[in-house]
Amino acid sequence: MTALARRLWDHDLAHAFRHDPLAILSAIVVAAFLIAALLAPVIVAKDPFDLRNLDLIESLLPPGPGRPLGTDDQGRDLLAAIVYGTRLSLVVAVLSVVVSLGLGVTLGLIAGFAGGFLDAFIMRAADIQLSFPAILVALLVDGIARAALPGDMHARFAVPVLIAAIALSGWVQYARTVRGLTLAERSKDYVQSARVSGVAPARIARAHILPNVTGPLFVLATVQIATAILTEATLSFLGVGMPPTSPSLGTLVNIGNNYLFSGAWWISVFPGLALVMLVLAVNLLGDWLRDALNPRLG
Amino acid sequence: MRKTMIAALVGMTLLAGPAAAKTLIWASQDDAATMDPHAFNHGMTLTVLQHIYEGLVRRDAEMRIEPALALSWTQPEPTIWRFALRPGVKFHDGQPFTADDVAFSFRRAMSETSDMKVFAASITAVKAVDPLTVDIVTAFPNAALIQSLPEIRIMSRAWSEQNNAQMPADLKQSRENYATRHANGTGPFRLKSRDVDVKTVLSADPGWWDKPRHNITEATMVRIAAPATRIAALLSGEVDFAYPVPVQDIDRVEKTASLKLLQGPEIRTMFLALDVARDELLYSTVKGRNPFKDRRVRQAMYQAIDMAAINARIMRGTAVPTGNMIAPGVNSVDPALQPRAWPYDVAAAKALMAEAGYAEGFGVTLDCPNDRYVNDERVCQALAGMLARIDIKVTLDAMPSSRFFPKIGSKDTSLNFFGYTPVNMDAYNTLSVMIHSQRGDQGQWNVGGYSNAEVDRTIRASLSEMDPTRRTALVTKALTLHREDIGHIPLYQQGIVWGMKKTVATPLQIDNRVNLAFFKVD
Repeated sequence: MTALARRLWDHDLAHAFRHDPLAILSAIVVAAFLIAALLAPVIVAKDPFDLRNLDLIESLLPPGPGRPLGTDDQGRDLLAAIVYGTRLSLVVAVLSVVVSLGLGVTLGLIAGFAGGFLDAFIMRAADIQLSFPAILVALLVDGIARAALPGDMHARFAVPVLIAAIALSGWVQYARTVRGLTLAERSKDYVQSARVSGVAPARIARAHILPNVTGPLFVLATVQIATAILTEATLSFLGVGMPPTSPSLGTLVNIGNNYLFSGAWWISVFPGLALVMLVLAVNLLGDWLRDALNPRLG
Repeated sequence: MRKTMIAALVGMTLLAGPAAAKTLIWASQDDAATMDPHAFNHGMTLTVLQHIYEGLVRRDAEMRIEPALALSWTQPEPTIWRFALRPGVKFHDGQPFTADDVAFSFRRAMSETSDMKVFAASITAVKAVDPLTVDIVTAFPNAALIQSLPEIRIMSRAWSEQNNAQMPADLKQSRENYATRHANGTGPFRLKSRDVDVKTVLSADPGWWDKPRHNITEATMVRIAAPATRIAALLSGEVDFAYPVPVQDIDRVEKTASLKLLQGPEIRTMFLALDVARDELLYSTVKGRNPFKDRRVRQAMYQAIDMAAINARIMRGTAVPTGNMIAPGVNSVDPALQPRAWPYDVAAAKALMAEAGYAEGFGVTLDCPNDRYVNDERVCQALAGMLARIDIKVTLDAMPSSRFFPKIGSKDTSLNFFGYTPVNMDAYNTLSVMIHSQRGDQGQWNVGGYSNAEVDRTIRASLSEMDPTRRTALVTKALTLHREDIGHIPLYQQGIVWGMKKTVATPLQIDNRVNLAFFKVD
């Protein structure tokens, strides 16, 4: 056990981490958000998503004793709403990154390994999708899902729909990266020898090539989580993401937007700040990871 | 060459000088749903179309009836109204206006797909006697006929026939025809261009028969659904007029030196409509039953709603809580019906739910427009929260009115929030459209399927009752029966708040219809 701890402590990555205060700080922020999200029901006394807990009389109150960040237009305590909203944002972001990672890696491997028509087809599809902004693709997927799901279903399926919308708008990065790396690996001797010894192509891709392309994917996925959080917030801000009865950070900013002129600044500002801190920390962590894993640097 | 051009430019400037063009940009929360004056009995649609199309009579700024396309009228018999039409009136396409157009338009407004049938109730025939005389025949003497005539708008028969728009396109079925996007009336403004849900440009018709009271040459209506964006546009001076002003921004507009506000109660009543007809509720967790058919469940919902809190916190006191389906001030309505029938009492509501066998509650979807009424989505969220306290788990489906009205119009709903304004200022309008059983030309927007034979009989009797006291008694009887049945849950009359630059002058209209014909712009 101590040997393992020792090895981890001496690992290049751990060494680099210890000597980068910015990385440590962002890791602490991300960890704080993760803990708050995981322990939300423990930290927060009243579930802000349970409509029974809302009291209209307590709406639009400024920050004060008992409600450090004030309340929103329905009487939700903003701190509670932010904790639960972060939980929602993180779940959507992580799951959508997992889905788009799976999709992108599979398509990238196929394209890079199979080559020919399949490669051209997948990559042209990727090019076409890249010519649209990611948010537009997400809006499109969301719009189709809304039209396809009957009346009361899309409120119930808001989370899966959001995950699908964000995942489908983000797979291209992974596919391109994996394809490029696969093309480079494909001609290497170990792949050639595996091929000569009759290993099935699918197995070569999975067992030999995939493990050698994971480093850059890891970096990409970290940065993409930040992008996914922002995409979710944007969709919710535009009113097509999470419904106002279970608001994510973007929905809260959207609700508060209607009260900016009337002086209730806290509804937009605090969730907005939470969003900025979370995204910045994840981005900084991703940046650090990229530098630490890059063999060409330091 | 250059000199002539300069001379021409100077000449043009001089010509344009004295009659400087006055343009107005007004921002609204929602858009007209159609340009067809008979397809949709909907506030914003009628607001836009009153500028383009006219009726035989119209209302002045104080809501009094005055002649429009008819010069005068007589009643040769109790059931026959003879109208002398205004000579020399032309439609915007240049065709002359005649009695034939009047007869055609009434037939059109009374046809199967028309949403304006309630205003033609009691009419059996409209006959062109000569090119400038029309007879309207009613089934029985109808005292309120004239009150409804401003809403029957006159179209050109030739234009409608040329463009294959003899019948209104049924909006509840999402149908369209030429008249949905084009317009040709006799009114003070022409439809210059229209970009659905974005902007509608009206230009003053120089050939209008009346002397304009307004001084607008061109008015652009832009739809800005988001309240904060709409008010930002007003504050920055981008638009000259905006409505409704969100109640939370009233102070801000009042404090802005270049802006002013007009405020007052509206005659629109907001309510919850419940499906009381189906045997199994749609969009609900209850299977095989319809809890809304149980009056105790309806009363529990009624008593779970804290209207005072909604008014104080969401409406900032601008709404008037009500227990009645029709606002006081409307013809034949007794103001004594205004207080709510049962008090706000969550404990009593829970007891009623338990008594009805729903102690565990149930789930249901609330359909709600999010761009139609003052703070509509917020009110719906608050209602969802209040109903959650008696364990009715509400899934809120908030949507733009372009989707909301076709949805509830086709009865694809179990619970919804909307409101109605009897624009002809007569109780029969709401009674017929909202409360009478849905059959024939009655109950067009009775989307919950409320039906009570005695209420129906009383409503029909009220239409032909000539004596005002007896008529009020009949209206009160119908409203009281409906109130006891809890056919709908009435909530409040919303407040009107119009915001504009100080350079704009207009009277406030209690039907919340912006009428550019009354506007003066400096």
